Amino acid sequence: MSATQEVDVVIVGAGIYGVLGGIEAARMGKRVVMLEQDVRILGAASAINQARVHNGYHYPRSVTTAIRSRANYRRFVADFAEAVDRPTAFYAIARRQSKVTPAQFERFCGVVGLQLRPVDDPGHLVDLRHVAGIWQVDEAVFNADVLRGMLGHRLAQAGPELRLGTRAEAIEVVGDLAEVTTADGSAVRAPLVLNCTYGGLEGMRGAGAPRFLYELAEIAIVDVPPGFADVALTVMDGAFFSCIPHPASGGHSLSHVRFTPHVAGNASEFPWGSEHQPPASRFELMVRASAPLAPWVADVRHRESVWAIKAIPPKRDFDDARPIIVHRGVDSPVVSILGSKLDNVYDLQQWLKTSLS
Amino acid sequence: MVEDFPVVSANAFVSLVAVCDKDPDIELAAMSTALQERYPMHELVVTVRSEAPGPPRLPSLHVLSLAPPADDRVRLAAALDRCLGDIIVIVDPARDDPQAMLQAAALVGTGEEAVYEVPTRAEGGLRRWARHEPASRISRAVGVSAPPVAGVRACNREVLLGLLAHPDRDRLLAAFPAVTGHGWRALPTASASAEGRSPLRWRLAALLAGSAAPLRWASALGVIAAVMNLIYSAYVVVINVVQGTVEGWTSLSLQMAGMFLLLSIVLALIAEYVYQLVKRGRERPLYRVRTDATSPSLPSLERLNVEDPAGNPLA
Repeated sequence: MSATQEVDVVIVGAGIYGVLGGIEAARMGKRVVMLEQDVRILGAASAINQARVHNGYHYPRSVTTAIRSRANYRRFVADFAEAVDRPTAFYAIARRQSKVTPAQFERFCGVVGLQLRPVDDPGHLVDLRHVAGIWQVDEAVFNADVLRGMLGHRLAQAGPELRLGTRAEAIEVVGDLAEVTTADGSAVRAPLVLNCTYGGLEGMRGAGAPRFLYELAEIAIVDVPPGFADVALTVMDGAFFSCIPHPASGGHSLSHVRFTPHVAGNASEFPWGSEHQPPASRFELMVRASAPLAPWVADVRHRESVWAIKAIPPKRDFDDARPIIVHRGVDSPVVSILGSKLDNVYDLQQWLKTSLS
Repeated sequence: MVEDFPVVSANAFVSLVAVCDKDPDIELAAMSTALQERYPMHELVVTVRSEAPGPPRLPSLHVLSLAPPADDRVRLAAALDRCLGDIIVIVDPARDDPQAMLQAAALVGTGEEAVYEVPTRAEGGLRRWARHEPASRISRAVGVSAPPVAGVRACNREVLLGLLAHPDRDRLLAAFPAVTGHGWRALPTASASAEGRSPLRWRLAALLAGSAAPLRWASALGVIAAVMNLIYSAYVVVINVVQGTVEGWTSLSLQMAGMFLLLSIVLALIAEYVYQLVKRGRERPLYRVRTDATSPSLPSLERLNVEDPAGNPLA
């Protein structure tokens, strides 16, 4: 049995929120220990996603999220320039059952300060019988492998102690401190524990995390037909789809709002372990639902699907916002953080800076 | 002083929609103040009757002017086309006060799909019929309930999208939640605005745009007129056979006048629908935006996208 180590901050989970949170805390002079069950950082949801760096276009029903995405986008693209690619990106609004009209989308972009450029040959990209409007936009994608390397380097420079392959099993509050026990029998104690495990927020005993729903999400990695290698197309707003470059695989990611989520459930019934086999792919359904809007999607070829567990924030009555949700009990040293979009991580850093100072 | 209506959520985004004469910065100043206090995320979307509005100064103000000059229904539709909010409140700057606006927003924010205003003043006879019948007709035509009231004050985004999907959205303004099949709640009000918000001609336009029932009435009137003519013809033949001569300018004139009245009504109803079909068939845009200006910024631009209900410092 190892001795209990005492530090200022323990961070559980080394996704991008955990890593940049750890770097920020270390910059403020805190002694930080980071625990990650995977053998590498950014191994789960931070890497298994569409690889979109949100510039704000995606949130016409939540101006706050869009504005912050817009503000953080520039910083992210500058900070991680080597990890970022800039495809020829398009956003389209479906003619039927969209939750946003073209006029609303154009005005929204004006309010947020997002550029929209007319498309010369829209019929090449979408079927205009089903699409009411399409614009060329400025939105990047990131290479998760390059990002992992850059963040690993910065983490090493900033000074937090990173323990990879170390699963945090339980948290126990002892007085003003919280003690995190790991699977290898060691323990770390601190006056502040940040639970940044996203899809595993309730995976630790005693974490006191809020009850979320979780879902298994499928991203299909595909090869697109010739002439579309640089195209990133997103059709909105509702049960529609996107097919955008996925730099880490060299292909495109295809996801559909209706078919990407598979199993959903609460923490107690959800299959946490990696030993569980994913369900059958819904790639064919994604293509069938997407091709009427963009006929070229019918010709994409399926390479593989990647799977991630995502926490679903509580249903919001008013909007489509994706805020970073912070949950902490009264006087509890344990804080659960449900991250938002990748580039919104700077908002967490800012919040940490304010809350820790 | 703002009364204590429930604040729905700090993140609720309210769109206030209005038609103003010339200077929305003055006409909507009180509304803007009340909104800033209650809903940090909000916008004011305004179409002005003036052709040359000044630059907007109120925060989050978006001002349109149209060309050629349109009527207020089209102006309102143009503003609604551009709303970004989750709660949409329609105000009449000349009549409404901020309290009623906040109350309507709070009702939609607490789950109502749409809020109509109901005038509390007693009324009867033709006025009452005019206020009640069009909405009731629409409800019967489309199989949903509609309130016998004066006009829509507020709705949520889903209801608005239902309206905007309709090619006759400007004409449906007086009764759109009924047409789109959404629920509603009545908000009693003693203000004169309930009467002014949706005049009789708006409601008649909504009836004709939202329902084909008047065409059925035209069919019924046509059949009745034909039967009456048949009976009258038989009467003339019988009298001619029995008495040899059919007499009476008075009865003949009355018969002709009555028939022409019925036929004119039938023709008027058919002509109205044919007019609407031709108008739609020509696919002219509902309006053209002459000027389009937005005030420099939304409030809360610097607010972090972090929800931390506790808000106190960490260890």
